[in-house]
Amino acid sequence: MQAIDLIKAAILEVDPSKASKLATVKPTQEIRELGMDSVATMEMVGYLEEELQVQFSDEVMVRINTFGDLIALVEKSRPG
Amino acid sequence: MSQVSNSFDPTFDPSYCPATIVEALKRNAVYEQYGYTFLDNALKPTRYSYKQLWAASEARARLLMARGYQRGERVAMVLASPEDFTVTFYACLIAGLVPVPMFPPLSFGKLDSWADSAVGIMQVAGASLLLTDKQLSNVLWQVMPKVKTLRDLLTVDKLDDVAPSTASLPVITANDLAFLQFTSGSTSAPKGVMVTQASLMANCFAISSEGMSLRPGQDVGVSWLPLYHDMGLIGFVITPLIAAVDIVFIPTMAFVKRPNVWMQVMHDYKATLSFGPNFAYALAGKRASQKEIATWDLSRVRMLGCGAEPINAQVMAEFVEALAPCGLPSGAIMPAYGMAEATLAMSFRKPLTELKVLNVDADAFRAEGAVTAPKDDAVVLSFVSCGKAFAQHALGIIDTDGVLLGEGREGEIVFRGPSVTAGYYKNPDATASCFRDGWLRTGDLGFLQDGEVYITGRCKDLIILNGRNHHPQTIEWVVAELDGVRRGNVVAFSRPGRASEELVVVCEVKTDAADVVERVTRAVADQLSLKVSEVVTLRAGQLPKTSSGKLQRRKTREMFLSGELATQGDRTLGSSGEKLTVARHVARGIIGRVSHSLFGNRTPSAPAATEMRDGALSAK
Repeated sequence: MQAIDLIKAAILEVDPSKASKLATVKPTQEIRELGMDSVATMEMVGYLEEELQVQFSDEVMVRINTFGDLIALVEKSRPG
Repeated sequence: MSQVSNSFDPTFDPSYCPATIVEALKRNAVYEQYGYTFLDNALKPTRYSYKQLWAASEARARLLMARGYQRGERVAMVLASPEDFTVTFYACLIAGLVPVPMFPPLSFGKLDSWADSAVGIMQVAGASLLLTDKQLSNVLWQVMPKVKTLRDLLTVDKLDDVAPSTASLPVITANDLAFLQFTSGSTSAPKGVMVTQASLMANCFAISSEGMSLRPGQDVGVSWLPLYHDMGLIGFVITPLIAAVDIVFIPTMAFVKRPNVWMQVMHDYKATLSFGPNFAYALAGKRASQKEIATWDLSRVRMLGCGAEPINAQVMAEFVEALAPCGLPSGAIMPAYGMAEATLAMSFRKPLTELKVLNVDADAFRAEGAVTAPKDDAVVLSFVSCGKAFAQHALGIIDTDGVLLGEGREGEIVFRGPSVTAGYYKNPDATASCFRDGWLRTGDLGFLQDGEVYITGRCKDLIILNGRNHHPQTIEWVVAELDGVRRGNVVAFSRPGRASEELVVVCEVKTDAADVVERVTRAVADQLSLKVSEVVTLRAGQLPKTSSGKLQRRKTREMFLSGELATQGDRTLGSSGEKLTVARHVARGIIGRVSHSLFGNRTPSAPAATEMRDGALSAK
């Protein structure tokens, strides 16, 4: 699965109402623009961590702003 | 996993209230069988018996004393790890220093606004020292120069760079200031609630004895609540000292990322107690899989406390029903009411009793604030009881003139007793406005019935989202800046939602304005990290105002809930663009209008806003 698809699946898992907005998402777009609250955002991160079997550190987390940032993090965290 | 103790100590006297936390810590130092268990993100335990806890805290206190910090100096603490936090917090108290717990930056981005609020708190507290961990120190060094009183920033792993002080420990007394508890929310001037040793012990003792009937060896508490927040810190770190019970701490982020770990750990450690706000139960109930439910045993649970935000009786019922196959008792959910100015708690319901929901006649209640049984076919409002005030404390209801009302009348809830704060740190004006005739004003609306308190709303227009307070002005200011929005004609408020309250923004727009709903949603998410659940756009002059032209938030909210608002305006669900019918909306408003239970400064969730400035953190 592509990193972006995994991220989309994670977002839909915690908030299915974001489906239409996710269809047009671009790497330069900020994740905050989706309008998820902080609890949903962290739940989404938890889903990614579980799928990837990794733990993102807090310091890494505060540096994530755009979808591109998150895609890069997912790519880096994948096994192999 | 490390097994917690189940043996009961017959010599322990849980009816004794220590005069200070330091006395309680020292007394408990004889116990090797009880203590704190800190789990990491992978749920691997690190255990401190009460004996080890005293030793570790005293050792750290001596390191702080060796650095020359004087009794009474304020120490800001930004520590994400519960283990670091707890030992450091106790070390400050033993050394006679006044800890100021602060929330760490969490979530994505927005570090700038987090740093601003951290600076604000440290300035008010006049902190001399900032203690943090290695990870966060990079971020915090940049704010150091903004706080003139700060002499140093130390990371906890470097504290032992000096030889420990061998001086005698200071004698801590009941009248000493124990710590400063800053109320959350995005106000320009943060207020620090002064928690004295006496008020703290009075409240912890009431919670431990009357509220929870804690017994060493019989109870095991589990908490994922953040320790920089009163419910986590006072409820699950300090209160357990009174009865020397076992507590298991889950990192807050571990719970938020994987809500199932909460009940999993309750099962693993045969827990009897936990606490959380409404949204946490909604999350935990929703995420529990059938497979997990089949393996969990929650039959020992005798109290799942619920506070900090409005309690939705339906969410609680669904949670209990979902986990009934685990043996969770039907009366496990225990509503509680409190606030930081009362140290933590003002009232608890009795453990293992069903939720008490009172139905009242909506017409009589709205018209006169009178609590009466509903007539046939009447619209009904439902409120959840939060129990009676603790012994030696009292709850009252006053009208706008400050006159005490009898039972069954709605007014502002007031509270008095030994748990009440001495006031806000170096803020006599705020302190004075917080009290009236010797009563603490809660700012909440409610009534008493058979001695039990029911919370019905708020005097102030505070918006509570996922347990965190927001002032409507900060949201309104963001919206007012947008093109197409008529400046000064914006109202933000909350409506009851299932899991937490939901944010609604109502604004008057110019005739040629386009995409206002999307832009409002986006601006609020972008600048405040908040989700707008609904945006209502009105034409000029449609917002209710006073004769002098001032906005009327409460009236706008009431009109919105009853469907009277926006008769000509567009009504669109902001986040998804779905049209929302007025009928569905009204139904939801009535169902959701159960009472709420406010528990202190209410910050179980991640901070609303954190932002990263380019280059603020090094790339590696």
